Amino acid sequence: MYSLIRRSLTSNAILRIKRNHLPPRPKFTAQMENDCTEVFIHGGSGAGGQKINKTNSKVQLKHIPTGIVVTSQITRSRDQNRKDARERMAYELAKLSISNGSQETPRDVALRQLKQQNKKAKLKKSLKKYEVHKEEKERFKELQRLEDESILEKILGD
Amino acid sequence: MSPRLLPSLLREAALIHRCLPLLLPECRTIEQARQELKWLIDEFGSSINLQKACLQRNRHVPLQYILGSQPFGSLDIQCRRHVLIPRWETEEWSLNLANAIKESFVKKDKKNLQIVDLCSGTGCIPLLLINETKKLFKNNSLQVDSIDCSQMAINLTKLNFNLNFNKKSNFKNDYNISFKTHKFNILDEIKVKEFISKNLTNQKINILTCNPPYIPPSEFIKDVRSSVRMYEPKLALLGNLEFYHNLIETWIKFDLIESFVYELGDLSQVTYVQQNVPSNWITGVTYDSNSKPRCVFGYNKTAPTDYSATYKNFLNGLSYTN
Repeated sequence: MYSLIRRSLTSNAILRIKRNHLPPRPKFTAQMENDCTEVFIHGGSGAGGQKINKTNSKVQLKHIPTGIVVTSQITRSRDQNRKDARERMAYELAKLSISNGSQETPRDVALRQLKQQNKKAKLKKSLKKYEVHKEEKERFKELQRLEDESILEKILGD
Repeated sequence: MSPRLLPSLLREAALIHRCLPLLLPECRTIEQARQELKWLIDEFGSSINLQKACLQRNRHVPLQYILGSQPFGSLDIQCRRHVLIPRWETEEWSLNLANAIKESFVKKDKKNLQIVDLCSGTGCIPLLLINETKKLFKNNSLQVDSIDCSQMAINLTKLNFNLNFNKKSNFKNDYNISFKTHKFNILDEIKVKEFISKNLTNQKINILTCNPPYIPPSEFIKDVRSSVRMYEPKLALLGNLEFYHNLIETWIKFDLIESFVYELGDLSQVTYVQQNVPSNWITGVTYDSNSKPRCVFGYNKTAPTDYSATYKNFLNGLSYTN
């Protein structure tokens, strides 16, 4: 009895990570904004204004104390690119502030674990599927064997 | 004119995507072309339409006319042929102006605001100003008038207003903002007076914004990019001092406005304005982030509203707010 209870109380199940409950992305703070210089790169000197119609707008953000530089030109909108550059900068700074040398933010760790977890679950599922197949195969073999035996018996009996 | 593209570059591009060489004449580098191709694929998928779009781009049609829109600050502005495409420089100074209004103007004074935009085109400047400052106008009123002499521009301005604001059905109820479009030629003094007497009876215009055509005809062939020269309206591009002359001889002379912001192309236009404004006006120049002179602004010292703080903010420019 005692052993049964003990068994039910100790479990070594790992904490499951959920996709919608990840640690938040690092925030870009006002302090960081003050430490950064922003440059818009529009392809050097030459004509400007109405004379030329630029389609892209590259944003470059430099964090002066650490010297980190990030650029963004993923969208056509400078507004969006500025937001994107700031997100990247916050991420880079968060990576830098982690002391154990792994260069992984809590979110990165969680994402990695989530990946592993999903992989494991997939493997488990496929193994289960194969097990079912195996069982079926064996059952089929057994049936065949029984049939064969009965036929043999009939022949030998005669 | 830009130099010939190297055949090796075209070959390299063709290996990446078969539509990529078509984009090179306009983009010049593979990196740029890939970026544009990505945007085109986002819009058209990989259908026959993509090929058609790339062929158009090969003939220097502006990307914004192919995709039909251009992001402008937080707005998405529709673009059609025969109307000028908004430029990033305009976006930059409009955002600065909006921030300057937000920071200094209405917070302190709690008063109604009257903005008029000339040569509106797509309507990008007034619409961005509305969108950025709308939260200030729940009790005080904001009246924005947008004037252009082209019917197509007026139609597009209306379309852009509807798409960006009227879709959100509560805009009219939530904010005390009125937006009107007017079609007439501002160089015609009589029409301007007519407009003033009809629309602005008791109040002067607080801020007059304008992005006039400012490319001198002598520079048109030499400096203007082929995609602009061939596909964008000359009506919105060619001009030199007539709009700055109009600013001084009509809007300032008849005491219709208290302050103005005009976009411009080179310093000779700045000097013209600065030499001709009356002595009770204070003027200044702003530079874009490519360090080219981009705007001339000015305000009346003796006006009942104090604009010095607003335009100081405008001059100091870019600050990022979430």
